[in-house]
Amino acid sequence: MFSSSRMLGGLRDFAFVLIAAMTVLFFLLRLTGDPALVIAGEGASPAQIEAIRVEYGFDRSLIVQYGQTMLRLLQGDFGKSLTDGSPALGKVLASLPATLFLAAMALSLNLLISLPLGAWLGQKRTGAARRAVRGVLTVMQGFPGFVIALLLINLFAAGLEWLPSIGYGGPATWVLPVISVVSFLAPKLIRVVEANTHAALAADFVRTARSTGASENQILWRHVLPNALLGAVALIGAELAFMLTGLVVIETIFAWPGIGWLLVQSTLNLDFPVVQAVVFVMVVSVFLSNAVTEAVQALLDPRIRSRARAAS
Amino acid sequence: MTAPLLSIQNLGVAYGSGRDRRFVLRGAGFDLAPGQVMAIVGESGSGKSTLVRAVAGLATPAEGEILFEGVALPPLGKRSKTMLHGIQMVFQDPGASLNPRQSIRTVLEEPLIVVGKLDGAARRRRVEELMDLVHLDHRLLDLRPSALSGGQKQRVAIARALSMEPRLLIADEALSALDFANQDKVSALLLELKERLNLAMLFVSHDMRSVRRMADHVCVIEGGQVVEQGPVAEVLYHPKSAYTRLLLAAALNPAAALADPRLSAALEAGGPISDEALAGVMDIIGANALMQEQSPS
Repeated sequence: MFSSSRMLGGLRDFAFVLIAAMTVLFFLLRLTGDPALVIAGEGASPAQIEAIRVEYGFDRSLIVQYGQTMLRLLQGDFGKSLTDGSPALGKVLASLPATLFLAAMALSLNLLISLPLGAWLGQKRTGAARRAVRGVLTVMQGFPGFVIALLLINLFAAGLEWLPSIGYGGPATWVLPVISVVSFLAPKLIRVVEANTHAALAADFVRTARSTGASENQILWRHVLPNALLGAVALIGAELAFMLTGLVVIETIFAWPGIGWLLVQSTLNLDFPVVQAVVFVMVVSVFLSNAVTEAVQALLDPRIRSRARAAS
Repeated sequence: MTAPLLSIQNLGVAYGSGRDRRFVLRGAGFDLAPGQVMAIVGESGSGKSTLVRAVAGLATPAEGEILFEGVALPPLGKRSKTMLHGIQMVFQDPGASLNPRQSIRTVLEEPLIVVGKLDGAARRRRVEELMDLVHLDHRLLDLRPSALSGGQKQRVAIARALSMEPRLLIADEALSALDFANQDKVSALLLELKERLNLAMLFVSHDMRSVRRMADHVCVIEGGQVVEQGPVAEVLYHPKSAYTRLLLAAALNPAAALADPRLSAALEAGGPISDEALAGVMDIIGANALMQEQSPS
């Protein structure tokens, strides 16, 4: 689909973003505190702490540490977790399926709700039902995901005791985290699908289709939805990228053992190698989800395909 | 006299309701015979597009009637297939009038599928005939609209309209998004189709060059009112209303018209324009010379 020069360009951008992210992260982490204190634990003597500094190389100058870290990262060596000694990247990869699972479920439910609802709103320009749905959407758009999550826990876990408030073990534990994510993401997608549907319905090619006597269903499926969905693909891609990096709060609230939860735990423990490995996996995930989004857009829209061809 | 194909009687279109109701077109009326071209001219916002949109069913008349082949046209949703297919429209922006996701073949074949008279093989033949009618290469059929030039897209839009075998084609500023060379080519094509298919046209334009070339009759609209109408030779070469004269002057040679001291003085002063100023305008636009060209001698 894409030419090799375009792919090389993408990889070059990816390498640049990755190096930039790891560099910023390295210096930020060094601002947060002394990891030797964490490793040594409470009650360690100054001599013990110093010994740990020497062992892990924290006693060397910051630039030397940076150079060594980047060199190791280039070789794919993320080091070992400072808390339990297991390989840092392995720890992150073990947590990744939980995040991917949450993202996949939230994405599916989001599409199932947003596409039909957005298309319905786009077609229906008046009426009490429409006004009510739009009112709910406006309110929901104003709530951050974690507020919705806390409200849901209060209602369904603490109040009604229908569902567990934390954990990752079976369908009952999936419900609240997935709804929290979807209730935050869906209003945006619904609005975009609504606006695109409305715009497509007003397009001249829909008017000409009407003048042939095509039925409203034919017009919706052949002309309106394919064009309305195309505009939504970019947002769906952005929402996917967000879920692969931005579920930190939701995963923490529900103790969902994904990479967001791991990121918070390892940051609190000043477990630098794991934090670096999490950020690395997040950057790769975002890059991959962007590449998939572009490929889907190109597949759906010949104009993007021909632009990509012209650019290469 | 032939029975009119289209008869517009005292047509008015209004937007808003109650106190906010405002007529954007009022008292419009004319007849159009089969195979004839009626140009609708006027400046932007004068109501010319509203008139043809009412005929196409895209605007609802507040008063008056539109008769097509002797039958009053109801709103778009209630029109019979014969009525729908009989009136087809070509829009200003050829890019927007073709579904960007469909190949040219699909754009042309889909209306034929909706009509449902032809089987697969006959439809494919008909699509190729339509491409021939608008002088387009069959190799373009598998391309998407984005791969075509503006002129080619407008030809496809015309071919799509012709697929319904209309008796009336509405061209709403159909040339204005094209460059000069393509305007001439597409207007030549429309004229050829008019002759070949005995197609009547409502030709909305503010370009007097194409109006002179295309139209048999002209209807001039100012501020929602028809100010002048008649055969093209009469309206363009013996304009009665000052508005028509100004429109002609501005359209044919705006720089020269405004540079003429008689006209610019008259415009600055406001109020009615003197005969002397109008005579100047007629000189500038070469109307007198054109009239001589057209005279039988």
